[in-house]
Amino acid sequence: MLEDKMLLWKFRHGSNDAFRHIYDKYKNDLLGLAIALSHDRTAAEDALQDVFVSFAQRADKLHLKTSLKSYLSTCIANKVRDIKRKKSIQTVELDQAGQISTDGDQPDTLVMSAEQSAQIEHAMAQLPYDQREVIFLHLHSGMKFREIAESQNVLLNTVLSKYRYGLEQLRSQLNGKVESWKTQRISKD
Amino acid sequence: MENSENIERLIKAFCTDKNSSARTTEQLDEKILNAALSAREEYKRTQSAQTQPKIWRIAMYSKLTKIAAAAVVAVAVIVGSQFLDSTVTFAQVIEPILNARTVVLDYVIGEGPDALEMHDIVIGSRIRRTMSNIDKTMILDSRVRSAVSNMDMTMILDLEDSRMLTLVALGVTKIASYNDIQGTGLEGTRSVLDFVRNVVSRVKDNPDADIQDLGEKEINGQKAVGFYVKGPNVDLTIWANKKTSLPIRIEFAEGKTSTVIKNIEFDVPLEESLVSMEVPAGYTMKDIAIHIIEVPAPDNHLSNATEEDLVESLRIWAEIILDGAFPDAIGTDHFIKQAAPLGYKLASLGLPHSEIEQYTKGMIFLQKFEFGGKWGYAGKGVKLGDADKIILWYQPQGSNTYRAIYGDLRVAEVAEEDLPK
Repeated sequence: MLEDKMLLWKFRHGSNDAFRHIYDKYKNDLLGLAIALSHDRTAAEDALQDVFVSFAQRADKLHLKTSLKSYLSTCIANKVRDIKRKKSIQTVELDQAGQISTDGDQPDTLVMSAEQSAQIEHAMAQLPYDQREVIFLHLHSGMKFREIAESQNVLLNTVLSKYRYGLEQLRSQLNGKVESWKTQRISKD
Repeated sequence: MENSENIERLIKAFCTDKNSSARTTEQLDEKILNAALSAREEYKRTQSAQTQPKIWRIAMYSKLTKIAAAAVVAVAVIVGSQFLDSTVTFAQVIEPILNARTVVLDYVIGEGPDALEMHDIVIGSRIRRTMSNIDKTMILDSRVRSAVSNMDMTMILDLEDSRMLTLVALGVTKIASYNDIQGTGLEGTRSVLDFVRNVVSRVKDNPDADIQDLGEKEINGQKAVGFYVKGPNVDLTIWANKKTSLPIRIEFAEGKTSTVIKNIEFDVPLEESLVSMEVPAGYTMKDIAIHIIEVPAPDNHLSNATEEDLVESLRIWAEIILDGAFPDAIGTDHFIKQAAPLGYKLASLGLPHSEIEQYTKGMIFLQKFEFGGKWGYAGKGVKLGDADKIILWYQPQGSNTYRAIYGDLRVAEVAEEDLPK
């Protein structure tokens, strides 16, 4: 966070390199968030551009109370919501979403096949947008619930409720599937 | 049935997979960077035209901040009058303070050779105010330093009509501006003499007053008698000429910030033109908006400021004023002295004055424990980002441990034995 503030400080003082550094640092995370929220790569790229243009213009007036990543993630979520409102993006268009990687296996994470990922994406798409947004901002962008509440100007309990209801619905839709995926993984091993 | 933890892990894994596929292309990077940096250039072009007035505005504001800081301090003196075994009585000494129509005085905020000096000429409800000895040594930006060094600013305050005429001269450029000073802005611009008047007027009518006779000493070649009044938040000392009983030096401390009023003259004949609200010849009228921070009542202000505000203040201090280093010392007087350089620096860089608001709030939080609380500072020589060094600590009321702010601005609970010695 401190490094971000220094980069922001340098950018405010005219360093375009600092801006490029910020962009390079967060572009993929933010694009991933935008795609996850919009299910539309083109809309996600538009959101990414709008957010960074706005950020460049407003950098002087920006007073960060959270991390820069949280701030930019919130901007992405707001922008995607705007775009969705304008374009009425409601349907899940799996073929427009990014290619799904299957070769990554990180500690304490599940190995995920394309099919599994598609099932989760489908389940996520069934959630009301505001629940999906809270879940992604928390689990994808690492934002604290309090930060989300402040950025959305709602009560902390509201955010917690959305998160809890969202997870409940996902659990209901994915009931039993995780265990079966784990079993598949063990048999492959 | 999956439990919530499993679902969370699942979604995290999903996000990781999604992220690994979410890669911008070189084309997209170029497009976004070009658009963003072009937008930035356009923003800077539109802002540069407004930079010059902003310098004046913040400079004027910072002066108000300085006085406002004094106004923030709660004054509740539980004292009263009593007969003193002295040829000069306390009542005699405070009489001119309360009743003089004209007063000329200098007052120094803070201590040492670089203490900030203010000069007031008070005629009735009007004040002519100038300031000097702004600390410029820490301003690294030569343009900012030059602007501070060469600028001459005078404020004429009409407290009755709540108006202020500001006269600014920088080289051949002379600018005048009228502004309303209402509400807390008015409070913040009152003479320091009003502050003293407020204290002594409470003292004189209080039968239980506890006033100490400090005896005699020589001040600037004059034999003086002293009176000391101790209240919960302010210690006031008045030294008066033994022959004339006129006050010649007034000292008070708010927390760790000391103020000395000196070179005082009462009821001297003064030209009314000194406090004229007319714009002098050679000045050009400019409509300059002066931003006066709303300073709520002391209790509210103190309760509103938080530890986070102090941390942000330290960040601003290190990042903006001192280019990455923490100040050698900290306290209300140091905050006040750096307000003007901060204002200039923000203005020269086109940064918003909201940073000053944040900076001021940190000072207010510091005042919470400056008034008798346990705290300390060890930021001298520490660079911003140094995670191993504690720069500031304080003990919250009722706590056995201390809140410690480190060089990377994180805050942690620390036992007393782990604090810097």
